[in-house]
Amino acid sequence: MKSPILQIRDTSFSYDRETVLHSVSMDIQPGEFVGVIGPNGSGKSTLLKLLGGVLTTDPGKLFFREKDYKDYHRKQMAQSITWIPQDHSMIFPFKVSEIVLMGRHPYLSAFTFEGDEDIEIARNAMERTQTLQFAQRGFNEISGGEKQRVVVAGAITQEPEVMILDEPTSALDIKYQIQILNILQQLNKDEQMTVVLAMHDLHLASKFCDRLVLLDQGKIFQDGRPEDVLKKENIEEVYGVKVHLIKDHDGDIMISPDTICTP
Amino acid sequence: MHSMSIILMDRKRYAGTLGLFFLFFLATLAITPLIGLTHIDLGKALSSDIAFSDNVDANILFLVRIPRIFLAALTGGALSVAGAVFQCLLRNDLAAPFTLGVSSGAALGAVIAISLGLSYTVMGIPTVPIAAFLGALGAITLVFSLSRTRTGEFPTTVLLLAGVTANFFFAAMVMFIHYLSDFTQSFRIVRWLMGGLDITDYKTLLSICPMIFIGFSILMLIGRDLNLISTGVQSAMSRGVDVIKVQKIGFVMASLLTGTVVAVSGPIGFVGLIVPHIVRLLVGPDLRLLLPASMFFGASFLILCDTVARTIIAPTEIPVGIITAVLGGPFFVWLLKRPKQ
Repeated sequence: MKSPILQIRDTSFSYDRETVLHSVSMDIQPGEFVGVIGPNGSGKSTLLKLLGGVLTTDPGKLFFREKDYKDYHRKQMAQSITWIPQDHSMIFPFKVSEIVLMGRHPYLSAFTFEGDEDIEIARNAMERTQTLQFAQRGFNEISGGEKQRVVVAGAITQEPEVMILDEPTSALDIKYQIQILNILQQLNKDEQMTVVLAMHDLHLASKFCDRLVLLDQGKIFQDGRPEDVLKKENIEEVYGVKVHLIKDHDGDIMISPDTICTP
Repeated sequence: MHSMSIILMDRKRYAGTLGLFFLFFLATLAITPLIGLTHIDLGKALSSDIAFSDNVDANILFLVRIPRIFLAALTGGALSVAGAVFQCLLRNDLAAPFTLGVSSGAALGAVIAISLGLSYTVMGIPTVPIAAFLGALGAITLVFSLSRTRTGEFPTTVLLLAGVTANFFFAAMVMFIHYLSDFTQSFRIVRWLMGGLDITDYKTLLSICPMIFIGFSILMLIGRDLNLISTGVQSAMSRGVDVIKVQKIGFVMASLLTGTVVAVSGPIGFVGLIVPHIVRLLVGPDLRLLLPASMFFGASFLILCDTVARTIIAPTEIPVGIITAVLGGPFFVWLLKRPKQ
């Protein structure tokens, strides 16, 4: 058995008085492609923010390579784990290339400019995500699907071992959804990048992920292979809708409502 | 095909762009001392044949105009850099020392120091600037905590309301102190509150240089961190930025810059709002270039505004704050009303 790359142990989390995670525990192995699913408000974003190190909690809860998050320096952590938000609103008119190069931050000391090597890394990341052709455009001028790819290019430029993405596909049309998921799958296959992402589309989740974690009201309802998690009774209980399952020709699961009018 | 096109900020281009801003600044510095009500004969002013005390041209040039222009440069530069930093830390481009109430916080600090009868420096320590710095820091702490939402954003409406509230509050306190003060103090306060660059000497100028230098240098050191914070606090964290530390350093240093120059020049509005916007249009939003470019451009901008203030209805000189407000008011309205992407 390999040792886990990420661990979260018996962790609860609340904003003010509202508890959004209740004693969640899970281990993630290196090279896994994990989908976090669940209804709105089930705690997906919070769980990912904790794993990504952008929300902090007590010591003894989160571990990267079996060492507590708290024992890493911020930049050291950022060289290993990156977290990508759901929303990419940008107030200032940064160019696409500038956004991507920001991924080099954890490797640079105070007041230095990115060197040739950094630029080369960013360029490769942009090639892989097909964003190089609009490198000089303003980030605010490109489409939602292009933005998502640019942000992923920035994350690749950070050269992490773990990439955590909060609903990278939710705001995109089907073409861009598949494009992003293909990029992530490639990183996962070619570089054994560990990928953890939140998703709403259960069919795509079953298609791309090796493992699904189904959250319900801040608790892990089930954690396992897609075919074990995406069961009729699980979906009906957690999402509160009547469904039936269909398998596509790859054997991946599609969810369809029993009736259009649910109470 | 595009292999080279993503290179954006190599050192040569950086130095070149900054060099242009520096040249513009030097040009303003060279030309504006010669503009004014009294014509100055440069040959005569620089002549060593006439004793300095008898040389009217030299007196006007070296004792009146040049210190005033240097003060305008320091004030304009410092307020612009502070404005750029506030805009970045609050992720809102309407933020500036004046709109946030930081200038009026600094004013309150300075007025308290003046009303306590403190002279400008006590045993070499510039007391009024320090009091103004503390006032500025208090103001930004107040506005920051009032306007931050749970998700760490600063919505424009809330931010501006917090700024207006801070402005009203500090103005009321200033009025209160002013009301209680005696005639001499009262005169000092009014004179200073009008905001002006005309009452200065080289000693005062030298005394504020170190604080401006420190504030600016430290802000330059955290330039890349500030860039990341301007794209979002949590993604900055995920890129390895110590957000809380950088926010603290940024706010303290921007307050230091604001407080220091407000202590000498009085609250001069809108410079810190206008200049970062213009410079951002010219060089982009990267703070590593935006900050020094704003320093030079802000310096030139306030020198030029002051030249207008000195000459527009000569022989009467009007406070430079009037000129910046006349330019800044409409600019602010435009920023509020412009179509958003």
